[in-house]
Amino acid sequence: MHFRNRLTIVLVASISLFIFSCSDTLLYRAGANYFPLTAGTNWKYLAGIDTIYVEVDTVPAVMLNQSCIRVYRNGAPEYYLSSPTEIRRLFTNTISRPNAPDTVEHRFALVYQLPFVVGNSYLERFDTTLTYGPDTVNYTHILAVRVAAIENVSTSAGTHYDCYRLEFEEKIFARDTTETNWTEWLAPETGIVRRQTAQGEEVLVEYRR
Amino acid sequence: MVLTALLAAFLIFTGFDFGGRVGAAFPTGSITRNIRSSTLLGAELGYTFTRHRFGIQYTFLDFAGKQNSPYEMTVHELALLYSYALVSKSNWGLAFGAGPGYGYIRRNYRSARESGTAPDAHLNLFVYQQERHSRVCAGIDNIIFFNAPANRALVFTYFPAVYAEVGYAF
Repeated sequence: MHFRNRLTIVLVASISLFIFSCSDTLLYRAGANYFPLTAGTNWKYLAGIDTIYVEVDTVPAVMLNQSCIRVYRNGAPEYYLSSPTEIRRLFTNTISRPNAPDTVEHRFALVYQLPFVVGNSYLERFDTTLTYGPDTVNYTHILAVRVAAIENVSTSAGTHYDCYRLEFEEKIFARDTTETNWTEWLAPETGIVRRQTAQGEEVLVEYRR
Repeated sequence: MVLTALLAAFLIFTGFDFGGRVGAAFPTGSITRNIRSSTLLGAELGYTFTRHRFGIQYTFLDFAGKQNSPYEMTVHELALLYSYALVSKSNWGLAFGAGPGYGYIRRNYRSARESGTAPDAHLNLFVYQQERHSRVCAGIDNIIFFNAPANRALVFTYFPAVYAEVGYAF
């Protein structure tokens, strides 16, 4: 075999090996933003026959004396704190009273611990006691999250690769116990592309930055 | 015959050197969101022939998570390097080098772990000093990793590094 032929084989093999070995996206995932809260970003989801519009406000907000990001979900505001290591959301829960509902929880709770690594799990717990005359209510809010897998998700907005699947388990113990489970798929530089709850499924159909 | 073999062995082995490296590597781009700069540790086996140098190099990087997060990213990397002395004096010089490499990367968050591999390229510039059996050099090394996600063009992850190396020349 001529030297030139051997050189061609070596070059083709090297380029093939290079292209094949590039397909591992670990470093890409490590640098990607899985929950972008850039001002003006829009998401449109389809949940059965309903449409959900989500938009990041262009004006910064202040809640609990902290500068935060306001996100409108079908017009209703949600508040987020964003840092390199976590995303916190403002939780407000009330308990019914004879006269009027009483706020029992109003705080920024951990929702996403960053960066996502498959197998990681974390838990956020909040305990308080509400006394109203002779009536005492012990309130506990637990949010347990598990980063379950990396998957590709196909929606009408396209196929989203390298998505992290997060499994949420929320329990609220007060007078009654409420338990809610849901699953989210988050895509790099896009955010939530699919959410599966007991009531149904929300799927991303449009995304604008 | 014996004399020729001894001469050949002398010529082969006199160009070899082996050394260890220490330094610091810095994340750039979007990956800085989660990690801080890292210590660089490494070793290199090189062969110098006039202004040319061929080497095989191992590098270890350990990036800690930001804000005392339990996140950590480690890189074990092996590279082949070719360098050329742009300036070559009697016992020192300035050289430019380049070469391909391959990295094994691991991300840990407490007990959770992800691992993967990525090809990379080195581009470096260094000054060296060699006197008898001692070889010392210091320089800048640019380590560029390549990833090709399914729906995107090639993504580069770039770690510039500064290092110092102390070696023994045979």
